[in-house]
Amino acid sequence: MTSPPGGSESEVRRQVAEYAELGPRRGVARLVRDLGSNRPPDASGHPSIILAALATISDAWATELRKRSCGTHKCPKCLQRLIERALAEVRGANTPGAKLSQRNIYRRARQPKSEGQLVIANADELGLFEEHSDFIRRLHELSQQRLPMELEVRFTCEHVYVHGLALLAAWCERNAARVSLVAEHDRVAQYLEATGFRDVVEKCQTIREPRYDGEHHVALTCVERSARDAADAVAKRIVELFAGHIDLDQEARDPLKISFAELVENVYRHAESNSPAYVMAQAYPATQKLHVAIVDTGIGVYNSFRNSEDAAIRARARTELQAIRMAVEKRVTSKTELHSGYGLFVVRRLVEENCGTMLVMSGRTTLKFWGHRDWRERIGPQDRAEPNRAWKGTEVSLMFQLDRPLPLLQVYGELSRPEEEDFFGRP
Amino acid sequence: MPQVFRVAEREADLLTRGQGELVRAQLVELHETLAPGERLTIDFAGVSAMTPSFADECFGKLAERLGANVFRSSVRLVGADEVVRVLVNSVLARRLGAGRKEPA
Repeated sequence: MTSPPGGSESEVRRQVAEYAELGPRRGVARLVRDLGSNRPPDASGHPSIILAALATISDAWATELRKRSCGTHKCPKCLQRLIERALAEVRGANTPGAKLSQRNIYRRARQPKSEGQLVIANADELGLFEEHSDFIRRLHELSQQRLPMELEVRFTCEHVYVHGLALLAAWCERNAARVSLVAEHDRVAQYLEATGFRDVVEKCQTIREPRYDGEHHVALTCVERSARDAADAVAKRIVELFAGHIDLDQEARDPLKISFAELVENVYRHAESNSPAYVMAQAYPATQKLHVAIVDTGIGVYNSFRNSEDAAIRARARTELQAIRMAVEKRVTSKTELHSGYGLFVVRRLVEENCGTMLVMSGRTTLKFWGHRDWRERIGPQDRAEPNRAWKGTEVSLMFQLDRPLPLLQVYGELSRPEEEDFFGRP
Repeated sequence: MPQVFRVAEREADLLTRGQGELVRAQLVELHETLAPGERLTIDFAGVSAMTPSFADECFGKLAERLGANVFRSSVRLVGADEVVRVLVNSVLARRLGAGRKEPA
């Protein structure tokens, strides 16, 4: 293992622990004072590594460090540079050898770890069903124990779904120091291997480029805000992988690419988390269904709206349910000057017209949208809200029907108003 | 000689705001080289998939930066299929919509 430059691991750990004990606000204030007075916390410890380690402890630490780098706190330039460098290191941009992920920090820390067990007997908990809320509740209950945790996940169910697996991977990244997976059924054990789930969750590996393993699934892929280029390609790559192996025509490919790209884009723009998001996808050719899940452990939909600079937006987002409804409305965004508020609206409408399902879960609320059509008549889009226990972050899961159209032109047409100008074809 | 920018020259799938920023920077650079009275033609032929995020980041923000009058008089949009045309019209209308300030 690579030692951080300028100091041994144990020294860095000790210094990190000293600041960490004070909590984010006081800890960063003390660090700023120490560094700003040109008195590094310890001559043997490399300040940027200490900053990097602190930034990975939680989003609260990263936020505090960012506040200090905004230039309004009269901080010395050298400190600002250090903080920027530290955040870059956290994002893994500059120092691949010294990258300190949250799980690695936990694994190295000397603090005692609790032990936990999660038994997954009902596969429906992992799917787009009502039981999904039970799974979130159980993860929440595990979070109430002392963290980090050494966790055994025992799959006694006979099959699994990508939605719950992506959620579990994100939870482990944030909360678990060590995870061991046990699958009682061979089919599930093979699935966990083939989808890279075991590599990511148990062996702490990172899969940045989606890979297809021949059984109609795309491996659990990590979307990091730092690795922009790789993540930019994720949506496109997932569709290409499926297109090469299942019957997917061009008319379906483009709306799928657009839907996945908008979901990945949301992670960058709204999650505000240093922890990675996870994407996983599975096609079922026999039933012509495609399942995709993307889960992050960021600030969540509600906080994103409550942090908006637009007072009217903040006022409307009074509850988590209202915030999620706003997120999928047309032309509503928490960043009114920067964004258009079209992305999730387009995804929702495509899903509804496709008679698929979209689940948005954030905080204590799950909102599910679907379109329904029977053989006699079209029954319009419907939605249902379900309470669940707190999830720090956001999950968006989609189910598309591959044998039904994805009417992109119709949905894009809904973005416009009839009186709007045609900018094309002017002489 | 008219300046023509082919949007799909490098990439037919235009999906992310990151891509949108890059293309917008190229368009701004090209626009700055226009002689008085000259127009920049943006050709959408060959575009396969375009997300609302890309369209807004690239064309919406370009139009906002230039202002409605300059955009209308100096930029020409051609070659889009129906899906792209509807999307780009929508983001332009939003960014140049009523109540938006013209840049100083």
